[in-house]
Amino acid sequence: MELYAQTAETLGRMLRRRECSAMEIAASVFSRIRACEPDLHAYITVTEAAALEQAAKVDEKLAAGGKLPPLAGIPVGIKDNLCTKGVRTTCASRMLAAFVPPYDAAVCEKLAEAGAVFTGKTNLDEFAMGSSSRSSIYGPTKNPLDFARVPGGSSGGSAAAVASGEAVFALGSDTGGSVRQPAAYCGVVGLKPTYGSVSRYGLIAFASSLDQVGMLARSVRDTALLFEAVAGRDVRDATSVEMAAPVLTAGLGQPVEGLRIGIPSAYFEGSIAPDVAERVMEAAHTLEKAGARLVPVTLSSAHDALAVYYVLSSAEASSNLARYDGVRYGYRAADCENLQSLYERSRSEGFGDEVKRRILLGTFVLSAGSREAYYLRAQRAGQRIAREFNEAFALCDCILTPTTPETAFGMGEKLESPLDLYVSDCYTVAANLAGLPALSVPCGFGANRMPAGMQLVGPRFSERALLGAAAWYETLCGPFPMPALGEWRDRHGV
Amino acid sequence: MKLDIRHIAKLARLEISEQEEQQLARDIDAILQMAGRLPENAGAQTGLEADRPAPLRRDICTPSASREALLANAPELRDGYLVVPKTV
Repeated sequence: MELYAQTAETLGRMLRRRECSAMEIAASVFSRIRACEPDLHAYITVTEAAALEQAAKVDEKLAAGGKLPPLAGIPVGIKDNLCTKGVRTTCASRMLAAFVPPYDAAVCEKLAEAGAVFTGKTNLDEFAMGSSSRSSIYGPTKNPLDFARVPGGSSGGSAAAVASGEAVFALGSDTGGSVRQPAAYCGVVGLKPTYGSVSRYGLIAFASSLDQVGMLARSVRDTALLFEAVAGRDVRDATSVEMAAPVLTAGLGQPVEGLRIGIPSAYFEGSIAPDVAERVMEAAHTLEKAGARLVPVTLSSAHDALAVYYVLSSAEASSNLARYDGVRYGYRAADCENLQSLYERSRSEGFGDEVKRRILLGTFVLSAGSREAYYLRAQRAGQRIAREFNEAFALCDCILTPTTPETAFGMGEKLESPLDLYVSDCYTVAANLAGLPALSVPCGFGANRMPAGMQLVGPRFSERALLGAAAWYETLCGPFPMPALGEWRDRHGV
Repeated sequence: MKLDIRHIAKLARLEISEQEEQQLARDIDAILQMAGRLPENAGAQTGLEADRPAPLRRDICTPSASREALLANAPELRDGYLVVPKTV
């Protein structure tokens, strides 16, 4: 097997046994990037020269007999809304096309300390607002399994890079499903950790009460390794907290005796594609046969989650994105007569349609006369959703749902109305509203031979248990297959 | 309250064309209709959660990025100051 197709866990072991060098790993991944990028466009910026320097340092350390840090020599992709010192960080927006951060995001600092090698900055929907990675000003990312389909979003670049071997694993961000939905569409694992478990210092803000840095990888254990490397309290993010016993990988994959898995019927009814519902229930029964218990739980307010999410996230976005005014950094319109027109033209020329739509929606729901009718009402409904989850966790250890109502859709679909696109997040947004950890795991293929994902949601700070349940499933079913690039297209001769 | 896109755009410091105005009004109205179906009263609003107190950090000066590094992304600078169009 090529080095780029190996898991981080295997590569770490090979490196320490001197079966390969960090330079060889990096060379394999960058040659894969060169081969795939013309079709995929998973990256906005590739940082090969810096990566080769990082890899050379790992090899020097190894040659000198030094002890390697946990992720030494492992190539990692970084979503382009996480600040990287000296490497432009665009948010896939004209507004930040020339922005070069003077500092690293906390998660990037931690990955550098852990010895990881940075492959580059991955594509996303502009300002992480979207579910298809089509709203990037740099052009869309394609699904590695079928170039005629979307990879999901907004962390579509990270998901496509990991699925295709253009990175061994990657960081994304998840405000309403932006790690889990693309993970499901591309057939990889995606973790949205508990709100507060990872520092967001240096993550460009979208909706601060919901944003969380997330991880994408080709195995559950790699997901755990990446989470472990970046989790923990950081004084620069007041919402971050110290987690007890962050050693996650030990014992992962063992049977979880008597695991109680909550099944909310509301998530398997309505607009869900029958093939996706079947795959997810098959996964649930696989765990049941192996000794887990399936418990019916009620999440009756789940159907409110999408409306709550769009009101709250847009309100927060309208406030967070008010900082882009063309004065201190970011895009500035040329030849403005006065300050007012500098603000208005810089923002109007710098932001794309979806970002403007959300700023306007957010401004409206926070404006005089609408705040009670929309914003406060949505906040109360969101808190009710969180209460329902807590009540459900009295009956079960985790909740199993589909990650998305259908598999990856076509590049030309769902462009008419924004609501059509928003629906693809209907199962993921609730975990953000409730601040809960949630994990998407591949669970087979739909009728169109695109991957389906099951989602495990747990109580706050239950990452260890979620990853444990998912690793158990992975042990039962075998490693998740890494598809050949454009496999679907080749198979069907399209 | 009725959605007046022009007014909202002014508050948000965005310029929108007449063509954009109609499309945006339709799109946003569809989202608001969905939000209008939320329960009127889903229970009492709770504030900060007692079980999750935000830890305070000590008020100590620590090094941060230099002024030059922070201003390096400014669209226009003169003598270390940000330049904007004449305001008075």
